[in-house]
Amino acid sequence: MSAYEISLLTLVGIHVMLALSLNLITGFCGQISLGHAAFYGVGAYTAALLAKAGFWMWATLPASVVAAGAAGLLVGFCSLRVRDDFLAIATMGAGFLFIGIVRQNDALGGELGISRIPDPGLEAGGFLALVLLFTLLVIAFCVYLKRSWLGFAFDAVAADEAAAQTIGVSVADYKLSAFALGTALAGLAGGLYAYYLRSVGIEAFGFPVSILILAMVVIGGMGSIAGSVVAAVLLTLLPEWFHFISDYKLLVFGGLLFAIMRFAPGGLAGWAADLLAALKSRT
Amino acid sequence: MNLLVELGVQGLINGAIYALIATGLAMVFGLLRILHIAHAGLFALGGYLGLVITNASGSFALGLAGAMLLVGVCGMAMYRLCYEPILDKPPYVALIASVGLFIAMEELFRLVFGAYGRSYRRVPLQGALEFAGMRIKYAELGVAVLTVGLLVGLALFTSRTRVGIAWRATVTDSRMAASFGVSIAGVRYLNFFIGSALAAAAGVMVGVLNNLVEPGMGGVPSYKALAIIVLGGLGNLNGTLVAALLLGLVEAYGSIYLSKVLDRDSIAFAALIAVLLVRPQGLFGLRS
Amino acid sequence: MTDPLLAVEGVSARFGGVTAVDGVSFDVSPGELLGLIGPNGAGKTTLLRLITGIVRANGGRVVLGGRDITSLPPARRARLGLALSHQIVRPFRNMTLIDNVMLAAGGELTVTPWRALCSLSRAGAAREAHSKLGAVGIDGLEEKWPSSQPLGVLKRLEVARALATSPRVLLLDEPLAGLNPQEARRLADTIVALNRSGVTVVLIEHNLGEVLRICARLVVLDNGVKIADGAAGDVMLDSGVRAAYLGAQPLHA
Repeated sequence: MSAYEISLLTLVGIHVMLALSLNLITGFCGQISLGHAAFYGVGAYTAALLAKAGFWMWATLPASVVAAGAAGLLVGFCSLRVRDDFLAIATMGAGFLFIGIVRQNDALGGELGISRIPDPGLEAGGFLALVLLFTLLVIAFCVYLKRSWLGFAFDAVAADEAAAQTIGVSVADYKLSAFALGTALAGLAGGLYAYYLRSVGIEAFGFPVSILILAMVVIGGMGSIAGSVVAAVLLTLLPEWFHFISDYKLLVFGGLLFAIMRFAPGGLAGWAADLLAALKSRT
Repeated sequence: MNLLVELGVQGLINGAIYALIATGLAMVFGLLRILHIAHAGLFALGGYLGLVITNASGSFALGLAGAMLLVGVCGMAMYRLCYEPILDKPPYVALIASVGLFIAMEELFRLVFGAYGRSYRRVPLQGALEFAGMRIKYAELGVAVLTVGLLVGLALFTSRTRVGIAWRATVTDSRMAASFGVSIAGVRYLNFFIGSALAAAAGVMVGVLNNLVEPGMGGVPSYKALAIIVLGGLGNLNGTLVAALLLGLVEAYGSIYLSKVLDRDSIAFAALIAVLLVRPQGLFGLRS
Repeated sequence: MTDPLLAVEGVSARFGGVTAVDGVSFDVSPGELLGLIGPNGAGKTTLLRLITGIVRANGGRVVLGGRDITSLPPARRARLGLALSHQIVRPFRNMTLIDNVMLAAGGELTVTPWRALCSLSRAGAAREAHSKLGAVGIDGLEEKWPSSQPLGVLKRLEVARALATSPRVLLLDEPLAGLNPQEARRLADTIVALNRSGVTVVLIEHNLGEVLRICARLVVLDNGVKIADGAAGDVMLDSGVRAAYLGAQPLHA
């Protein structure tokens, strides 16, 4: 495998984890988050700052997870009392706030970001293996969660919060746990990203990136684990394969987002389910 | 002292721009519960059309009116082609479709008009008014006059004319309004027309103030407008106006004191989150 | 006299300038089948919401099994044994009928998200759910989805789901609304059977025919105030009650 391919595959793994982390919050638990890139950023900046301070990756990665999870708890707590529509905007606001705070504080890297993050000591191939391992673990965790009673309760919260309350499901606790788990996983992806790129800057964690992650979840099909994985892979690889249209990349992306929502809002998973149903009714 | 007053005036002018954008957003949300992010694209389109028409015809009045009219029509088309077919789907569908539209529009502007923006050949409303040791640009006065005129016009329209009253009734309770014979589709088209025209006016004025119209100009003001409509109580037009003006002022004064911590554009969101923590229904919303 | 299982003491609720419920008090004894009736707008649903905790009381107390639950949130009250079947059905539309009931039956496993994360097995809850669906007579429809089922089935699902939480008091908000006479009669019979098996029931209903048939005791509300409380036969003869329903002048001044 060439260096380029290894690098690309590493990014694919990181994006898959990122998409799954948002899918947990938005797809499993029904909470729309438009600021998810901020938690990715919290993880990345935490790893970057700690790495430059001399800590090893085995210490900085857990710190990234915890920091992002804590930030998620905070945002989740703020979201508890607000309705769906407000939640989307409030999470968007949290995302802008993160960028705004980092931008003004040179200690956090400011406008230029943090660069020359120390090498974790694995070679490119070794790092790829680590990322893929984490990716598989995250996938397994999501599959387990979906099957567990936590996933079951999330379904109810996503469907009808008031009805969930009447059967004893403490909606607030569940929403908070969705946020904390989802953002913690995003933090893991962020920490790995910091070591992947060896630098972090605010342009990697802004609103457009939040939309990109949401696009992966939605195009894959809200709530679908396989869908998130496939969509993350596609949305990472396609721009690379189609670099002859790189000038039109965003136009195609925007148009694609719109078209999918307009004509196939169930995403890839929904389309696959329809296809399966159609095949079944033939046989 | 003069600095404080000048800052206040700046803040109110910005607030007026925000009010024009946010009112359109609030109107769409109030009627359809959709977060119409593509509104940002209509704002920028207004800026471009105003510039192109003014440069071509030499008349700013024509540019402003033309931009408002054309963008109003585009808004109606956007409703018909993009939103109407997906009204029955879960809310995130319209939200993301709108985002996709906005991204595509921004890119189209970049490809058609160039990435570096365009300027007026002869900038309208040049010059400034000097009094009491302060300097207010004519363009800024223009914003104030235009905003007051348009919003007062809207208020009169919704309270004095039959069509306006029908619109208000539909926003409050569409089934009731329909049973009185109001054409719901008609109200929706009108809603998008007015809201989009207001955004276009804002876009034209921002283009004049900066003498620059660029593809990405819609983003930041519109994200702030989203924060404003939440603060104003989602769908409450008066609340939106007050919240917009307040935000303009808070940004003007706040960016001086908070610049160590937060950049100017994030102040809106810090305010939003702070308010939501204390009053989840926004400043002027009703507790459900 | 046994202590009441559920005691509502002088509860009030005000919205804006309107007092929807004004100082209402009544008791529910264990094993009772109590009917809560009154004309439209009397405040029955608001009163129910005060009991379940969706609406905060502006005054008064709600006591369940001797414990003051007035300041507790809805989910806590549900866990203490208060179950509700909604007037406008609210099935979880993203899961099958049996899953709807299973989630309610698995109450122990969803006490905290952590407990829920660590729990995988659905076998016990599935058995519970099956039996509750049977108790309301829809056990053949387990794998169906709510969107494909008629109102009658969904109303029974509401009851089954509420039952699955093993409640001490079952609150039914107009379970017969929207059903044709035969369906209403059958569901009413089911409610009687449930009550006979030991479930305490508070039934809000408009369908006076069925209410008078199955409830021994009635509480009547009008304009947010309790105007009668007693044996069904006596209550229906009360002139105030008749005036409230028929809008007629009272027979005696």
